[in-house]
Amino acid sequence: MDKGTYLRDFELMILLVVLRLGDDAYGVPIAREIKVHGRREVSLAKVYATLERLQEKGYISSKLADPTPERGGRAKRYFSVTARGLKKVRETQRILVRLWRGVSELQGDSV
Amino acid sequence: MKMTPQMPAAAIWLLKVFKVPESNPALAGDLSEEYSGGQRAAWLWRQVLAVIAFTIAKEIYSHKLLTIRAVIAGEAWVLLSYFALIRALSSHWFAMFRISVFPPSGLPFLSVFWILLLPESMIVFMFGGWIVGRLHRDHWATFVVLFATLQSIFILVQVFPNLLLHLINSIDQPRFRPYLAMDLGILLLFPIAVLLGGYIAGSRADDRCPRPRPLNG
Repeated sequence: MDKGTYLRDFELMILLVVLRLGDDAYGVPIAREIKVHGRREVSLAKVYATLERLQEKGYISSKLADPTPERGGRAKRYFSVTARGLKKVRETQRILVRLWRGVSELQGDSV
Repeated sequence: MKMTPQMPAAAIWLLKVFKVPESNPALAGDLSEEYSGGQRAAWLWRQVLAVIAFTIAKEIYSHKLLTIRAVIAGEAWVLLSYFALIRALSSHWFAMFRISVFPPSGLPFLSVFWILLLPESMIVFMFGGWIVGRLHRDHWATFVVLFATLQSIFILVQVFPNLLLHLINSIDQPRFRPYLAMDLGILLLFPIAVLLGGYIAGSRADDRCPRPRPLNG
């Protein structure tokens, strides 16, 4: 078990979005997915700051693609969840599900 | 290298000042892609301001000691020069022009302020910004903006009671409007002078120094 730190809610969202997007996980679609599913607009700066933090923790890795003209000659940085990151997401899911069970106020609510 | 022809020049300039295209080219590319893909200007400016805020916060967090040094260096200059140089010179000029520091009518004092004290004070604050930028070439934009923000807060704390009084009084009494203009002038012009001085120092440093490596490897 990865001791010491729990994932923050936004970190968990980012990891889940990166997993959902698969090979197309770079800044713009990540922010867009969060907007669609989280129903809130997030700044790209916040997305990148969180991605950077997750990368420092070893939960995601990244690679640069080729530069494209519509991006002003700048490359996309694609992100993917590492084995350690996947383990952390599963662990967080288990903890949350355990906490969820038995809370009468939350029974029967549709998500 | 240009980001994209569609992006406003001011946005590109701001990102360059904070070295975003060098430190995080993927983020700069994402902004270009989204803007050229049809996002509105308001969206772009929100994003650019968020990027700058995150950049400043990150640099301050990563360089706490340098941040303290920058603030102390700038503040020491402003305080020393303000109390020593300006007080000495202004009292000399006040004596020379036979104008009381607290004239009964008020207006001559305002004239003296605008003619003699304001340019001096502007130079002092500008040089304060220049010192901060010159001493911290790699992070000049962050530290200069931080220093200018602190100056704004200090000045606001000092002028707020008068500003409020002059604002309320000037609604129906026009003779208070010059005082209100002076308060607003101090509040706006001094931090602008800091930013200008910092920019002069920092932009020269940018021309000479190689830029830092990208953040994400």
